[in-house]
Amino acid sequence: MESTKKNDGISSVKAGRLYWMGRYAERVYHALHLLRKHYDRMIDEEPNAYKDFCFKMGIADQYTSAENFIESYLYDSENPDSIINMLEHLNDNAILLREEIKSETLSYIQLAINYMKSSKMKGKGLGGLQYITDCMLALWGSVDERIFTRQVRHIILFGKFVECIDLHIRFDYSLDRINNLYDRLKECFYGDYELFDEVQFYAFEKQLNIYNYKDSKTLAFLNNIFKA
Amino acid sequence: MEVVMYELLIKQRDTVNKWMDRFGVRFGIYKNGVFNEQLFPFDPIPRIITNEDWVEIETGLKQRVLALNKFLYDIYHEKKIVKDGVIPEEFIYSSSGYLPQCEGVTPSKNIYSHISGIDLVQNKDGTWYVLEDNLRIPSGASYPMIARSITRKVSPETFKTNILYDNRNYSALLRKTMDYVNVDNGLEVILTPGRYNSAYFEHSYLAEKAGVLLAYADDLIVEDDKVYYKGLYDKKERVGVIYRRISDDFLDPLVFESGSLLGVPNLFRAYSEGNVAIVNAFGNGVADDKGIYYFVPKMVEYYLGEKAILKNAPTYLPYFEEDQTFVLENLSRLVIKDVAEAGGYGVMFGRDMDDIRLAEVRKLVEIEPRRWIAQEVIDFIDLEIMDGEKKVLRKSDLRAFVLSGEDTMVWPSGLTRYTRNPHSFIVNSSQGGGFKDTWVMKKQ
Repeated sequence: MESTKKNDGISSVKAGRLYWMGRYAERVYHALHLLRKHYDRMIDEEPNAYKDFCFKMGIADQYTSAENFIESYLYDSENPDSIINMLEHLNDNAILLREEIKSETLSYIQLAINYMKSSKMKGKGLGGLQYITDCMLALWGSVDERIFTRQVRHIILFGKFVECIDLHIRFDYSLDRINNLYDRLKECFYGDYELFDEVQFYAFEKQLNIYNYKDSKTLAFLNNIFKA
Repeated sequence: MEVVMYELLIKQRDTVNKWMDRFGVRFGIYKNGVFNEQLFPFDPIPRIITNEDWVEIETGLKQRVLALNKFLYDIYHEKKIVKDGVIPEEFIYSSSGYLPQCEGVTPSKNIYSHISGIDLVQNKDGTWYVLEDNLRIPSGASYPMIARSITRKVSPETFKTNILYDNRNYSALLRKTMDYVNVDNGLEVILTPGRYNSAYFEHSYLAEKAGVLLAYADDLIVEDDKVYYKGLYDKKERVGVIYRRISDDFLDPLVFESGSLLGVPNLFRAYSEGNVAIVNAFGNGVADDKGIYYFVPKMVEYYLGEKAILKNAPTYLPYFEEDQTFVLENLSRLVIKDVAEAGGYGVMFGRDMDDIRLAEVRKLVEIEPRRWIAQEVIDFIDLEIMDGEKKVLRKSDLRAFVLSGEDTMVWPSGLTRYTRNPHSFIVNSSQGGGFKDTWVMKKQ
């Protein structure tokens, strides 16, 4: 007879990993999306648009040219800001969560890493990386479908929406879009208020709706809401 | 029928390997102090065990593990087997696996070896021999389990035409075993040393499939001789059973290796008070010592009053004078094993040694006879493996898994390991070996 006993339990370390897994997965997805938009400008409009990308992203512009930026930002494992490094950080968290997120979810990260490595060897540019975006979308589908423990799912999604809002603020998206995401973020609370810092949470809300949401304090409050 | 199953699996092997890669089926090794993870080489041609052979293996394994469990209880309690002169006491007390702290301690449901990994080889005449009993933390079941999941997905036709036992139930058997010994219906956890352990894939995969928590040392705390899992908001939840993947020495720094950061302080005390089940129990090393192996058939007779069904490889103990004389005279054709080593280390083949080395080993045997056993080299069967596009023959063994809970259950599969080196008998993954799925055929 199959055991019905539930072995639910999340340590604070595990909660932290779930949160950062969500953040890194969203960062990979969104960085590629934003990069495509800037790259489009770089083709025939503004070759140095990558500088604007670095500034908004909050990363150092250490690149010698547009070509050097693309090569390094995508594939350079020595570059702490690169996409391949984001994927490795995502994997570093996720690989320690297999029993929570399930092997299928984890596999999309491995597929993305394998693909990045082979793309680097083949000298593929940004245009060849739609597969990475597809892997991240598949990962989110798997999170939704395969993770049955509500709290686990919500912590990952909380990380996802924090990252998503962070990038939306940095890249000057409209307040409407950000508020939409904020509503999704709040859905992740589900009574688990102890996981979140109320003071930071209300300070962030005020920044969004009363003060200037483009103020740098907004990001600071947002990034400190999760406290596990 | 044979052609169908072989050819389809071979054709699909690249696809199977891609799935293995995607699921992270790896093991870690340290080389020159640097940790590297690599894919565990998988060979698509399965080892096939006939139903007739399996019936004998299964019965023999149950008998053997039952006797070993009785031996462990006896050794840590009355020691009748020593008092009755079946095993010399020196073999108990000089064993590095014997833990005096376990004297008088009875584990939950009186089971010591819940998961036993018994290594077997088949001789060319068809006889199966036991090479080793692994009663501490035998690893490897996850690999054939995931290999079967993948091969069934990739080549369903193969499994339509071949009628074999499903082996994907290993995690269910593990869970059943953990449920049975669970103390006070507490949480069930697998305790792992962490990502940089060679078998981390297995720890996390089994936790996922068995539906138990994967815990690290910092996640557990002992208070009032009970073990708790430290959850969110400082909430502590009682733990009833720990499937530990950390060896005895490192499991409780207050009792054993004091510098260990992998263990949980006071865990031994909680265990000895009967407040938590430890899978496998503390102190099992005394029963899977290579020197004790020699006595297992005698244990079967002593505790069960039956002849051992499974044979040991012909073994000599230099501890006994008569055996020592024989070993020293025949060293060049025997295999010598250091009883304290594992993982294929400390194994020396006399035929590979020159005269100088043989003389050195003779001296070692004379100085420390208890440290060594000698065995006849079994000419065990070669199995076909794929080497590029060619089929070649290589040595292989079988690790069978026996789970002892309410019932003693033998998992109808096992880890078949093979050497990739044509001149080697050493199949361990840490020494470059690969693995195969093991098919146990159903009765037609």
